[in-house]
Parts: sequence; structure tokens; C-alpha cells
Amino acid sequence: MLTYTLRRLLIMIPTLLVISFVTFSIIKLPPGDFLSNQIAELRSQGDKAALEKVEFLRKQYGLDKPFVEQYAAWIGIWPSEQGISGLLQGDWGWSFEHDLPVSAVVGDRMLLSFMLNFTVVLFTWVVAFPIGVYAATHQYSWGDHGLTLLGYVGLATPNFLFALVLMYFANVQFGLAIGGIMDPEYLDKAWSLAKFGSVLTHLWIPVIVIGTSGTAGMIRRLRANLLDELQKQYVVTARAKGMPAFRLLVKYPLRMSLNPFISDIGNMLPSVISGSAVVAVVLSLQTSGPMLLDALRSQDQYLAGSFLMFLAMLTVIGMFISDLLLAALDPRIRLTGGAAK
Amino acid sequence: MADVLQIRDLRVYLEVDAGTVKAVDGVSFRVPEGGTVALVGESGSGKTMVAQAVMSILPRVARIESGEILFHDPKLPGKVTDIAHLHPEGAEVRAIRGGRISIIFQEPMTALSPLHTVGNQISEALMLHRSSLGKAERRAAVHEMLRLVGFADPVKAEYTYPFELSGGLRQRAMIAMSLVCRPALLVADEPTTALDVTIQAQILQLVQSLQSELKMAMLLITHDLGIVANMAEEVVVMYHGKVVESGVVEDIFRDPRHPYLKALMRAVPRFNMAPGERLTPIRELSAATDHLISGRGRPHQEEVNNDPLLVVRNLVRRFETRKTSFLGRKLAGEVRAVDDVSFHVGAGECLGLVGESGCGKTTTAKMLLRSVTPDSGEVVFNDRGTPRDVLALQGDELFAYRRKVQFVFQDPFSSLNPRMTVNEILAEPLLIHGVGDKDERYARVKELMALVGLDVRHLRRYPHSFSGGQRQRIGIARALALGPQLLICDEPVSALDVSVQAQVLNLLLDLKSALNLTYIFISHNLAVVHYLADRIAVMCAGRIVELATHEELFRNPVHPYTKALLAAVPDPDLDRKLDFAALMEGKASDPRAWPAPFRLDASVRAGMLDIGANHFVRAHESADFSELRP
Repeated sequence: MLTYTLRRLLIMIPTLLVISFVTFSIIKLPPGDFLSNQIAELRSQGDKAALEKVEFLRKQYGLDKPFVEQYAAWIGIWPSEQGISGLLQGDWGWSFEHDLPVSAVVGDRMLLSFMLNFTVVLFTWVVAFPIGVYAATHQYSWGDHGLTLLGYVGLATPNFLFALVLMYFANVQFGLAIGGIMDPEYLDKAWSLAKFGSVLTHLWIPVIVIGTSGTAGMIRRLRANLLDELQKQYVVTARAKGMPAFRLLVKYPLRMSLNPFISDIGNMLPSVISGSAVVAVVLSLQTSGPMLLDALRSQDQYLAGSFLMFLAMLTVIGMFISDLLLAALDPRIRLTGGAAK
Repeated sequence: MADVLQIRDLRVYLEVDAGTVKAVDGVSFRVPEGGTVALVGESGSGKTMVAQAVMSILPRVARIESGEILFHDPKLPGKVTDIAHLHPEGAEVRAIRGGRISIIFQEPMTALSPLHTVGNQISEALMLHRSSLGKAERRAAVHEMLRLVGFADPVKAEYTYPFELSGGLRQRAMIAMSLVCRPALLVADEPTTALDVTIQAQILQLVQSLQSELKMAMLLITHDLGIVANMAEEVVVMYHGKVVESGVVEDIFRDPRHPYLKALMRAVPRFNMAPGERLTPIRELSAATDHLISGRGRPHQEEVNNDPLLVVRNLVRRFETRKTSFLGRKLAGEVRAVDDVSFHVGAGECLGLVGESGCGKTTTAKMLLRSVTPDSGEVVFNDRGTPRDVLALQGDELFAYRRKVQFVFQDPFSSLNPRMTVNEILAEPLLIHGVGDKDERYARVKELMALVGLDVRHLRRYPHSFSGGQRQRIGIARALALGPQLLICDEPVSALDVSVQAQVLNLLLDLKSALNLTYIFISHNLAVVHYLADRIAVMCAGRIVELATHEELFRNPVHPYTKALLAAVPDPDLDRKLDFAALMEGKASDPRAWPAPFRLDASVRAGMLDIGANHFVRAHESADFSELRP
């Protein structure tokens, strides 16, 4: 088990390296860079001094260097103007657009994003679990059919549309403005209890909007898994032992059907985050999604790159956690370790 | 003696889409205290439904329509519980279920949860039914039970997971689980059907000894008359949900009355069958084997010059087991799945290949088909006088070879594509090999259907609308489509009921003479091989240990493994009961445990020794067998 954990940890290093390379290449794919757009603008205004400053900046950020060198400097294995300072050293780079270090731009938003997405995952599980179990144990009952219908509606509705509908009704029916992730007066203020409270009161709308489709999908999956498990012979064995129905359900089939749930953790984080970007734009949430979109559009390469790397890291770590949990929960994975089928 | 269980006029109905099925239709019988009653019938006869009703674990679609299931607990004299009228999830039933009445299931592979240790699952039964026990007492009881069912190291066994155990050990764990609460009645639902013969005999012995030790009654559900003859005191025969005959075992075997029971008795292959005696299937097939294009009574070249059709020399196949470690995978060891196997098959002969699961018989067959590549060895196929090196065939030659050797699979359910009609299934080999045009192919397909006794009108049906036996016949027809010379049958009847088994065996027998076929017949069932094969090769741990004509092998078995195998088969004959002492305590299949001239280990060379009368035995080359010659 220890060697397994170590091996998994070591594999994460090359994985992240490859991801960083691919990410950076994709960001650099469009012709030009952030500064070349600026230069065009400044030229048209004929601002000589500014033009010189841009040239200075280009040197400063190493944008005149070849691609590979820029990449190496970004991840921190090659000296740039500031010496060796990159992702590996904890330096996320400089945002051209905001003229601030990336960490300063991102900090608060990343936290909000994380809060939002974590709540969404929690919401998904808390809602999906009991409903899924109910639907499976009461297969083809009215409750099951009704929940199934609701689930399909949830699956089929695009998030942003749902957000728009909610916003419209909240505004027209109740006169509420539900956009934003907190009341505007708290924006850019230091964290306080009041600010936290404001976030909480605003959080539930985006959580429901972003969480519905995931919840619906999870319900369907749990129901299907559990139905499969309920047919299995070992359930009959346990019944034949005289086990009470609920205890049996929890100890055997439910435990068995947990596996897909856990292996989902890794997948869920990135899909929730990318799904929330669109919703965040619609609901004008001050999370990382809209900022990532802007950064990609204006080729603010270090900001975009850092965002994407952060996402990749979440995914890789999520996968790692889910693998460890799976091994801990399922002795077949732990003990046969791929040796047997 | 008082009865533990009385079933009176029990009716269990199934609600399915097509209407109501009377799965159990007025069944009455009793199980005396400490006695064994066997419930016999084919699949679908409703015997398992009875067991489930007794346990009140019927599936959702089934309900008890009427009748009584009266349970008299010997520990509570005078108290009678009618299980049929209790709520299946109620506390009263749950107290009996698993505590006073326990069940063993057929499939030890799936009946235990893979996520919980054996110890956990056994002690759970104690926790449910004897909650007064403390943790230490519970563990002690679990250990004692595990030792009782034959685990050498109960403490270690307690912490193993079911998937770490072999089938036989899993079934032992299952038995430990059902018996740990010392029930008054054990329901054994086909407890050994999924196991090898030698393991089956051990489990039967175990159940019998535990039964007398714990003084419990047993309701044994089986389709195997051999097991009935060896285990039961009373027999209840079920057919289509009804009891057709019941009585003490002597009456049932010596004087069967009901036509179904008589037919069932005649349909089972036995060791003491006269040469040339045919099985009588319950429903006789009308197969037309006379007007065949595919048959065409080929005069085989091989018969003229008397060369064998297939010669196999020193075939070896190794499988590597790998170990995952920190730095990747490395070789942990190798298993010789097939180890130096040599034999020949004469034209028109049937060679039986017998052995328990994992002995390498299927791997051998697959190597003959070139679907598994051997590591070394030689296979020579006599193609009408021209010897062909099968392992060297490439491209067109290999393609042509495939026409001549065909395969019949074990599982009639998964070996037919559910999305193809029977017509498409049978025409596919012809299509692949470009035989004839559309009309000719259709004519051949119709002929094949007649050949295996199926109705030509069913050609447009899909496999799911056929029964197991019919599907297996479709599989045989498909194998025959290209007019092969050699047919390799891998356990073709092991998934079939006794009555259907007789049908298919007879069909194979008839086709062999009608089409001048040669068979390699693989089976773990000695009685079936005995019925069909001319010569028999016994395989164990990847090697052929004994090879002889079938009369010789059964009359004069020499190798200890063959002897153990023969001793382990329950014969449906009251005068030839199982000799549990001959089982070698489960060591029969371990080559290192065989006695002196047969023992195989790294130090001595062993080869196939000729002991006369076409009888070969694997033993040390220096061994002297003069005294064994008849």
C-alpha cells in the first residue's frame, strides 16, 4: 500500500509536467501575444514613450525569447530576467492586463471559486445519495418515476439557461437581484463575518444552478449501480442470514455501489469548474471562471496558464485521492492490484 | 421421529408479463429431524422456489399463493411456526432465518460479499442470532467453525477475503457461515454443482459429517441423481412445479414408478452401462442424418493408411504471473498451464480429455485451434494423407485449416451472438469461407438444422427464444457447417440439464458415425466421457497422467489421480456409494503428494510409461509396472 501511494505520487510529477507543456502550447497557439496587441494600439496613438515601455516590458517578461525558453522560465527551470522564478518556486507569474502578480489577482477569486465548487460537490452528494437509494429500492414506484422525470429535466436543462430563468423569476416575481456571489459593498474588502454571511446568502443560487445536472446524473448512476447490486447473490445470502433490510442495504449493496461515486471525485472537480464558468458569467459571480475567460481572450498568458495549471492540479489530486479511497474501501483493488482480472 | 419441517400444499405463483406462472403447484413433503431429504428435478421444476419459500427469501415477482410451511424447532418443543404466513421481513421470520434454518447456495463465487472478510461474514450471523455472545466468544465460535469445515489455519482464514480463496474453500466458508448458529435445518441448494468432482466429494463428505455432528436435518436440492443416491434418505421428485413421486431412497432407485422418474434414471450416464448401450433422453430427437451434402460419407484417406488424424507432441504453454512493484512490473513466476502434453487422435475416434478446472484441458484445445500459441511442441494434422505442421501454418493455409477443425463451446448462452438470427449464425462460417452462393448456403443451413433436429421454420428466430439444449444444438450445427474433420467439444453438456444432456450426447454420437467425424471431447464429468469416448486422457496440473482405452481405464486405473477422480464421482446407484476414504483428503490433484513412482517434482524425470494394452501412465522412468499388467 505504501509503495502504491508513493508510486502514484511520483506518477503525478510527469503527468503535471506534460499538462503544463500542453497548456502553455495551447495558450501560445494564436499568433502574437498580449503585448503585440497593446503595441498596435499604442502605435495608432503615436505614444513614443509608451512604445518604449512596451519594448522594455517585452524584454522584461521574456516575450522576445523562443517558445521553449518562455515555457521553461514559466515553470521555473530556466533563468529569466528575474532569475529562476516560476511555478516550481511558487511564483505564478505576472498578469499583463491587471499589471499585478497573478497571485494577487487570483487569490480571492480562487478562494471563492473553491468555496462555490466544494459546496456544489457537497450539494450533489447530499441530494443525490438519498434520492438514488430511494429510487433503487423502490424501483418502478411512483416515487421512482417522479424522481426519474425530475432527474431527466435536470439533466436536459443547460445550466446557463436555468440560471437565466431563475434570475428572471427572482427579479419579476420577488424583486430580488440574485446576481453576484456577495453584496457589492463587500467586494474587494477584507474577509469578515459579515462578508462571509453575505457570500453564504448568495451562494445557494449558483450552487443549485451548477449542481442540478450533476445531481441528476449522479442519481441515475447510483440508481443503476444499486439496482445491479441488489440483484446479486450475496444480497440473498445476507437476507438468508436474517439480516434486517436496512442494515443489509447499508452494509452490502450500498457499500458496493460506492466505487463509481469515489472514482468520480477526480472527474467532478474540473467538470464542475468548467461548468461553473458559464454560469458565473451569466450570474456575474466574482469567481475565477469569468477571469479565466478574459485572460484567454486577451492572451494574458501567465494568468491563463496559472489558472489552467491550477485546474489540472485539482484534477490530478482529485484522481489521486479517489484512487487511494478506492484502494482503502475495496480489498479487491488493494489486494489483487491489477494482478488478477 | 418428529418432523422439523412440514410443507403442505404449497403454491408459489410468479407474476410475469405473460401472466401468472405456477412455479410451485401444490407441493407437500416433510423433513424428519436429523434426516436428509433430497428434492430432485430439472431446472425450472420449481425446486429452488421451494427452498426460497422455506427461507422466505422469494424474489419480488413471486408470492406464496396458499399452503403451509410448518417449522417445528426441536429446541422449542410444541411450538409450530408457519413460515408461509409470516411477513418475509418481519422479526419473527428473521430470527428463524439464518439462526434455526440456514441455506447454502450453488455459486460460492458470488454468494459471499467480496468486500468483507470471511470472518466478518461468519460472525455477522452470530451477531444477529446470538447477540448475548461477547466479542471474544464470537471469535472463538468462528474459529471453531472454520476448523470444523476444514480450514487448516482458522485465524488466518478469518482475515481472508472470499476472492482470495478457491471455489472449494469458498464453499467451505459458506458452509461455516450457515452452520455457525447450529441450525435445526440446513437447506442446501445445489451445494456442489459449481465445483469439481473431487472437491464435490469432499464437500459432500464434510456436509454429511457436520450433519451428524450437529444433529441437524437437511433439505438437499439437486439435479444430480448420483448425489441423491449417496446422501439422501428420502427423495422428493419434482416436475413442472408438482411432486411426481416421493419415498425412501431405496424405493425410488430400485422401483421408480412415475414415467418421468423412470425416464430421468435412464437419461443419466452411468459407469456400469453395457458397451453400446444408449441413453434414453426424456424427449427423443428426430435428427435426420441420412440425406446430407455435408456428410456425403467421405471415404477418409487416413483410414486407409491408418495414420492418426492429429498428432500432438510435447506441447508446452507457460503463463507468466507478474508482480507489480515500485519500479513497475517484474516476473514473479511462471505457471505451466500445459506441460509436455503428447497424444494422438485416430480418424473416426473420440478422444476424451478429462480433468478438473485449471488442469489445462481447454488451453490444450485452444492451442490445437491456434487461438493460443504454445511455447514449444508440435501439432501435426493429417490432411487427407498430407501431414501439416499446424503450428507453422500461415495465411491461406491457416484459413484452410480452420475449415477442418471446429469447436463447440461450453456455454450455449454466451457463445451465440444474441443479435443474429439462427440463419445468420449458421450461414456465417459459410460466408466467411466463401462457400456457395446465397441459395446454396440457405440449402446447407436448412440441412444443418435438420441434422441437429431443429425445425427449419425457426431459422429466423434469435438465440434467446431457444432453450439451453436447443442452443447447444445450434452451436453444434454451426461447428458442422463447414464439414470439419475434427470437432473439439469443450464441455458441451456441462451447462445442460440431465435430460437434455442425454439428447445432446446421443446427437453427438449419431453425428460422429453419420458424418465420419473425429472428436476431442473435453469434460470434467467422467460418466459423460465414459459414454462417448473411445480413449481417455486424464489431465492434472497441465500434464496427461494416464491415457488408455475407456474400458481399460475404468477397469484398471493405475494412476492415483485417476483413482481419486473415479472414486469421487457419485454414481446414481445405491450399491456403489462414494468411498470417502479414497479421496486422499484433497491432495489428489497435487503432483507432489502422489505416492512413490508417480510423484512429480523437480528431482526426478517422469515420462509416459507403456504398461501394455495401449495403457500409458506418467511415472518415474525407472518404475516397474510388470505387476500391474493384467
